[in-house]
Amino acid sequence: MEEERIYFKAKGAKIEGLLSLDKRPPKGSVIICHPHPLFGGDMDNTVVVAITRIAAMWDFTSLRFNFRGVGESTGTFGGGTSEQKDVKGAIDYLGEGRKLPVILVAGYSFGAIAGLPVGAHDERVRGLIGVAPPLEMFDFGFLRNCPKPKLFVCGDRDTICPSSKMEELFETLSEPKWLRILPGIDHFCYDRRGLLERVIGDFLERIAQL
Amino acid sequence: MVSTSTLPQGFSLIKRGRTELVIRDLYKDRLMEREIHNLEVLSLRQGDKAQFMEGRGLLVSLPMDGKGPERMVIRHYEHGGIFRALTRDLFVVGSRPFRELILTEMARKAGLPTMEVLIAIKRLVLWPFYKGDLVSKEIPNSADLLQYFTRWEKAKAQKQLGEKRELIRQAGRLVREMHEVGIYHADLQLKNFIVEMGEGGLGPLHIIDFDRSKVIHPLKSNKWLSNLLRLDRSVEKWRHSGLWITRTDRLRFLMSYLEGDEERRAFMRTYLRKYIRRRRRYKIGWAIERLLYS
Repeated sequence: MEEERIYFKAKGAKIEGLLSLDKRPPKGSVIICHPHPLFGGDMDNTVVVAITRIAAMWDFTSLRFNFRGVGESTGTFGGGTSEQKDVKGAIDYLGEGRKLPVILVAGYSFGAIAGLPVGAHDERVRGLIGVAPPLEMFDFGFLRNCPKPKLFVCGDRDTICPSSKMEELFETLSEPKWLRILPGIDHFCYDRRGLLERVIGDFLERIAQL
Repeated sequence: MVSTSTLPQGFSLIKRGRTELVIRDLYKDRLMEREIHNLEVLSLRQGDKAQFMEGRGLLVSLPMDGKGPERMVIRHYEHGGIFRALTRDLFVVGSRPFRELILTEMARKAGLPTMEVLIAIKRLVLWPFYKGDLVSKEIPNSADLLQYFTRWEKAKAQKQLGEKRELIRQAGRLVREMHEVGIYHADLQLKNFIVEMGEGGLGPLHIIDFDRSKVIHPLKSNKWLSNLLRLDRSVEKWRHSGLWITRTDRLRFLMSYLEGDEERRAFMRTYLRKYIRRRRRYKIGWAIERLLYS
């Protein structure tokens, strides 16, 4: 899988990203949001890279990028609010700049705080993937009336996204929705390569068929 | 006895006399209406609608409610091994059906393709002895891998060869994912892989029967290796019944299992010698079993 370094505009910042390239026409595209910048999160995070690779396996183009203030992206950390503008910029870039079909927004940890609210409300976005959304830090109640396909993945040893709390939230969400709880995994250790492939791959396949 | 605090989400505990049932809420009304707690009576009432299959012990397939095409499979717990003639279906202390239900649900939640358990039943005979059953939803138009590899033995059309190879790769990936979940399967063998047989080709592969299985984090090398060897023994055991699996197929399975995992690959290389020694020992065991039970 090859990736091209790109830069796109977001309100108040110039964002650095990596866009995957494929010879075949893609079935869709995925925007991947990384974990908390102040705790070392960037677009080279292992989970972000894993999702990029899985997307390529299922013929989806992916765009991973550094939030403002990270890497070569300009601007400063905005506590999740300004980062939502970066996600919006990424959607504009893929949808209008590259004219790529079916946009999905995926967010790991802090990435879910920035990515999912934008994805839930933007009409161009067809589905959402939340890996370990930090339920202890942020209210994801806005997803309750979201009719878009949603996939959530969390570990049963995750204290920042407790699986019991995830199940409670999941119960209240509208269909279509999927929840996968990976045993033995905490918030920082989503290293079950094969499982992530199946879980996210199945979701991408479903989205491609919609 | 099962406690309500250990019940997986979406299940309820019901008691009827000496029988305890853990039942999936989604099907509770539908199944309790049919007196599911009394499986023997229920099976007899079905008459020719009941189908019998062989597993370890008898598997009975019944319509879910006598209306739609959905069916359920009842598995009565029985002992395996060479002492099974003595111990039959009586178990002491604990609750194997409930343990299997909890583990299967955990695997399903992690995204592992497996059966959907409807009910786990424990019938107390005389303390501490009990009998157990597990009722799951039948995967329609499916076959286990033993059936698949023996039925299609002579049909070696190019298309089916490709299908077979893909199926073996799928099995390798599936076992790797199961180990990533941390599951040590207590009886990993061909009969415990179920493949959907759709009109347009094969559907997804499922892994079933988590009876006596354990969850271990992290799953150490001796455990995953022991699982692979158990599966290999099952292939070796059925090879004489015309099993359509070649040495290359076994290697294909292993390569798919080890794909991208350098650590496990290195470990596997070290243990290949041990494997040859173990295989000789198992062959003697099967010969004894054949003498006793054939």
